[in-house]
Amino acid sequence: MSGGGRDPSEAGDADRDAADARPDGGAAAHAATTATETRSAGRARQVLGVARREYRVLSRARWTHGLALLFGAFSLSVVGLTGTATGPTSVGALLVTLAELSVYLVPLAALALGYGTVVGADERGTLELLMSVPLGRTELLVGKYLGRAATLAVGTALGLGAGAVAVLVRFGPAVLPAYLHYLLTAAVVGAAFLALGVCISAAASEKARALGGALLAWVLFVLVYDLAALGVVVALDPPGWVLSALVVGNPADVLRLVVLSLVPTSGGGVGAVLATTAVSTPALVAGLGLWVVAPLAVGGRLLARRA
Amino acid sequence: MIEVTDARKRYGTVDALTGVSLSVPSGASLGLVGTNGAGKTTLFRLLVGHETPDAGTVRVADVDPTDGTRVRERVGYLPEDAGFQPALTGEEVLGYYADMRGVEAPRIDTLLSVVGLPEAGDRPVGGYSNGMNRRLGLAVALLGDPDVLLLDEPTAGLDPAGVDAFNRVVERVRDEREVTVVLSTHVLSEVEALCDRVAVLDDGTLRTVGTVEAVTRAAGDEVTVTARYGDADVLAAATESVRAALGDGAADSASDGGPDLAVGETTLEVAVAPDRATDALAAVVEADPESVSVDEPDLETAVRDAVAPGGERR
Repeated sequence: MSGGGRDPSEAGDADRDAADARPDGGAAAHAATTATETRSAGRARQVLGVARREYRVLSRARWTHGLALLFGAFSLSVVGLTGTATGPTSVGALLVTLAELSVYLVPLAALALGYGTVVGADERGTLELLMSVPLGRTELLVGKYLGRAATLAVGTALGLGAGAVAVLVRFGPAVLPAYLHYLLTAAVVGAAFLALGVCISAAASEKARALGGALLAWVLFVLVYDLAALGVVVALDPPGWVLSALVVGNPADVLRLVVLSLVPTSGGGVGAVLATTAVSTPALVAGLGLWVVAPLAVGGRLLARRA
Repeated sequence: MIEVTDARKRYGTVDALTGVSLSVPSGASLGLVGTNGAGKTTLFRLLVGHETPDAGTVRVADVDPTDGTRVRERVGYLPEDAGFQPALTGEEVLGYYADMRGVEAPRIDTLLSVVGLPEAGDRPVGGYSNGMNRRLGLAVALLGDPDVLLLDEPTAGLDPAGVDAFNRVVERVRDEREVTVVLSTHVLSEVEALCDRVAVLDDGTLRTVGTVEAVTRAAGDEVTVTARYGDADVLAAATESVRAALGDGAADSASDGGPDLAVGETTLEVAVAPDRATDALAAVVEADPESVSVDEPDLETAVRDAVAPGGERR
């Protein structure tokens, strides 16, 4: 137990004392607590039930296979080109190349997987029945998100995992930790963009509009954001914390930053700016966590209003 | 079990419901009829908590449907289009919805049997007929052992055999589980077969509500026997004969509540109270007509009159 926290045994004694002071010895309070815990566990099982259904439906639609093939072809191609006349020339360059291309591919795949989550179910007629189950709107959305996040994670892991095998064969085991670090970051960044896609889906009245919103988000985060950020850096020479905020403000830049922190090379432009930015790992994790939680919270509200 | 009081709902400039009030006691079954756009689905969405009324109150199983998820624990809802994923099997569909509702898995086999799909559970839903799809939807609606079953046009698009099969299941479920049933339909024979109450919605307004018997009776309490005779002489003789057979009450006007005879060129129409319909028919047939028809007051007439009284569409 870290300093400042109460010892669990002390806490237990204090709770027992308080309970003994009640006329029923705290039985009612205990029963209420137990009922609340049971209800929470039941809700968690229900949310996982939604997630399982979503994952299974997407698996049947071969989304996992498609994503795995896409990421597999991508990673194997980059690894295969390493050391060739036009490809990356070293392991560091390989990782930077993977990251730079992943910044385009991962958000695109995640947004593509997310934009139909709500509006697609609405157009198919599934949403009406799904919303009749005794779950809150946000819980329902979180369940659907988790199922899709699992699909994205499995597809990413399988696809980029193929690249990991190629890296192992070609460069030996020393490179593997850095590659797996990149893989994990790519999966988490994908989860953040997926949450954004799900939120867009909850906001859209038609699937075509959701697709437009997803593409717009991709353009904003992958292309426009960095240009704007670079403009801010060049024009204002902002303090370090602004740079950190700019990085955390875009999950795609988190991916870039994490990979650049693994290798000595950075290139120029945004990469060079990022390479000089020091953001702690907890801040990056918190930032990505916020990028998952906030869109889902907003999406839950939008789903409730949609209903 | 269901109490709707002056419920109003407006979408933009369209009044979907304009002050609907109705009550369905526990264990009763209500047929909700009306044209497309009459407000039936909006009323269902209020009952299941998918919509909040702009004004008025809705209570289902003593719960405000928009108050958290409590009402959805007690209501089984089959929307007009359940949209099942074609790649999933019937058992998988039920399994996932069971998970989502927190229902134990062994109930799935039982439910598939209840809805007449015991052999089809391991087949993909994409291969199901419309009728099987609707019965699977009914099984999903029954998963939480609901007190109230809301069925939104459950037999729309089904062939007669599919309608029969579906309705038999609903009838059995209603009787065995004593659930309160609300179903919307365009098929009035379904209402007569399955429901003890009927509500007629038109342009978002509740035109009439009551027991099927009372609403039907409101359409008119007379049976009309119409007979066609060979010529005027036969008709005149038949008229005298019928008048004599039905007694002194038979007159050219029914204002006194007695039989009403309307004589045309070759036809004789006899309007009588339902309890004298057999006598009237016997008297008419005795006079040797060329053809005879009998018009009884029915739910269709009642609904038509409720929506467009006097034959005029409002």
